[in-house]
Amino acid sequence: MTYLVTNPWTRVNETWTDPNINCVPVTQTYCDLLIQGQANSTRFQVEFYKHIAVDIVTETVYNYPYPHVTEKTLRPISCKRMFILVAPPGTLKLLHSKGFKTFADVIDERYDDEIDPICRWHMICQSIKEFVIKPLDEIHNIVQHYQDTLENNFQILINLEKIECRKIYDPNS
Amino acid sequence: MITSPTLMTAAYCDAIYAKYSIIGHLEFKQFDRDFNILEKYLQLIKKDQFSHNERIIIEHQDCDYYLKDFPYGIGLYNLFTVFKKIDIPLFTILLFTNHIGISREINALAPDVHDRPTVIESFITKTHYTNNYQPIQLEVDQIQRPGLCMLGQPRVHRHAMYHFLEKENFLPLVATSIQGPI
Repeated sequence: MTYLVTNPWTRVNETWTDPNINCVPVTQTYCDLLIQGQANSTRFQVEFYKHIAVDIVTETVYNYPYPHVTEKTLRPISCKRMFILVAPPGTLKLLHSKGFKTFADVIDERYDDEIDPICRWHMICQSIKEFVIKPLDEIHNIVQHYQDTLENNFQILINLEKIECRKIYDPNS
Repeated sequence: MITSPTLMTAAYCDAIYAKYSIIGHLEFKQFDRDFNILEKYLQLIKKDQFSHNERIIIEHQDCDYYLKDFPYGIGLYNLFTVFKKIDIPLFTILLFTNHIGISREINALAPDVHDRPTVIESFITKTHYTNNYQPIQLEVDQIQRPGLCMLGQPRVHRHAMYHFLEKENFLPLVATSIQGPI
């Protein structure tokens, strides 16, 4: 027999909440002036990305057994930006396996190894906190330092489809 | 052959259609609310014998639903259940999925190594990827804010992230957007 998932029907199981984490649904719409009006048209490249250093990506799912990469993760790569992933564990590892490099020198990325969603949450928040309070000059220097990495990630992204499709013909390639 | 609109990029379609004899092509989203739709579809393509190269593509690019004490995604479990019910061998399934690592779940659902689906794990789809990325210059002097956080569809982790940024007074540092209830 087949099973009905839930009623009302949903694809996403989000039962990971913790009394110490405020998850109350946000009741107001908020949009920073920098991204005003463009938040829904940002699949690949948008003007405002040039004004930010790190994209805090909230992937489609967070408490999930598999890395589940979507355009949200690929967007900062395509815009040559750094990123922190609010995503299932192992997502950074998956990107590494494809050849992408990340930013462990300046962002604590140990959150990617943490399976427990509550612990991972606190680790992600700490990583965000440590980065965003840095002075803007220091952030400019950090991004400059990662310039080659960001360029390299972009090149990997644009060649990825070709490389992945090759595996269909030759799984060992 | 019954076909349907596809999330697969043209390059993936070309590669898969060249390698296999495709006898059906579906997206998970077309039937995961009602598996009778899948059942009817499979009845149409069922036959007495399938050749070793024949495949039914199932594009599995959306989330599944996981219960605490159930070892499989409910959608995936239902998919296998329907195939078994209609009596179509599992090897005919070609699962094109962005659930990287799901093969272990599939191997548990299909323990017979001679009757196992082909699994292609990839996050490259028309929705998530384009082969038309435009290079942009990286000019650090233009950076005005440390962070960006675009919170799209309502999700528990997005609500929590918004509250975190607000509580820590990070909204001036992290350009944020969130959609309230419509």
